[in-house]
Amino acid sequence: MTLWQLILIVGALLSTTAAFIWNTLHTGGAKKRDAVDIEKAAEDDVEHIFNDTFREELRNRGRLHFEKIISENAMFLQQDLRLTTSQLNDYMKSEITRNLEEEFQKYEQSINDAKQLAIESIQKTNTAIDEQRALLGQEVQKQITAEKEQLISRFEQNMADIINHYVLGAIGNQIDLNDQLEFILADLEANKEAIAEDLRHGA
Amino acid sequence: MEPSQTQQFLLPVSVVGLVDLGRLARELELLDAVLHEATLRGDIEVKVPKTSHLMDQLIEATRVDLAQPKHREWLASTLAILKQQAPRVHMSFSADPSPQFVAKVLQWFRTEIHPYVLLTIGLQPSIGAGCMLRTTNKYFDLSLAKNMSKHTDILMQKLRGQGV
Repeated sequence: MTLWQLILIVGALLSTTAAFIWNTLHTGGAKKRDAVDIEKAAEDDVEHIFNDTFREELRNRGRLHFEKIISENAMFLQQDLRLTTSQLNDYMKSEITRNLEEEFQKYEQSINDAKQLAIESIQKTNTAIDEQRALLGQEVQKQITAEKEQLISRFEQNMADIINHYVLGAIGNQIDLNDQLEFILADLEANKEAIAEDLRHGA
Repeated sequence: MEPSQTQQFLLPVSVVGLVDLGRLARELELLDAVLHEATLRGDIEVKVPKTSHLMDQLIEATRVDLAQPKHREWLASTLAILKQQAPRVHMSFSADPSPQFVAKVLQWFRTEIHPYVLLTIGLQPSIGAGCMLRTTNKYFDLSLAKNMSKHTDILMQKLRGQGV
């Protein structure tokens, strides 16, 4: 849009300059024809008033006047061009600066958004990791407790066998059946009713 | 004396189990055959052959006269009845028990449980200390391990009391 406007302004200036030059040249032609008519009239009415020298002088004056006008217009055109170029430079600078600032702001905003998203994602990840770690810790603790309880329970269940095994390993060869007689009879006495009942009613 | 009922029969503790009963029955059968032959031969004085120590104890306990055919018949029938109907128990020990030990145990059974209990001895080294008793339908674990397992609470209290 800005480039098109610039092209339009430059085109308008060039058109104005071409029109001015054409008008000047056309006006000079008309004056030349008037001079010819006047010369013809002077030739008709007053012979030899405007001789060749006089005409040459007029021609020179006209040429000088035309060159002066051309020079002035060229100067005006140059000033306009410089002014326009300067304004155009200022405009482009301001536009470019503004666009760059807008782009930078957008870029900065995008960076900030991405940064915020990354921070939120990292925070969520950290939270999830902490939760998983806590759950894992609880699970491990539960497993350790269960394993410990299972070991203790198994030890308690088999404790009699374990102690019996070690007792027999330690003094098994030194235990005589006669020494156990009292213990065996006491056990038999304790189970006397059950034994008698089973022998009475057994098949 | 002419015992006619099994309840009057006193089984000595030297007769432990079915093996002894069978041995006595076979010996009695031989005796009966020998004495019957002597009777058939018409011997005036029938002399009872020498019997085994087990048979001697049985005769002493039952006070029977083996020279009398009725006594022999009664004794044979009684032994047969005992072989079929006497209550039987099986005891396992970690080592082979001595005859005195078996006699004491058997005495307890015949005093406290039934006068004609027959005992079978088994060997189970894994018992360690104590014994295993098997009756007709039940199994009694009278070993040291079982006894300790009954007192697990006390053992745990002792262990925990020592900071284990």
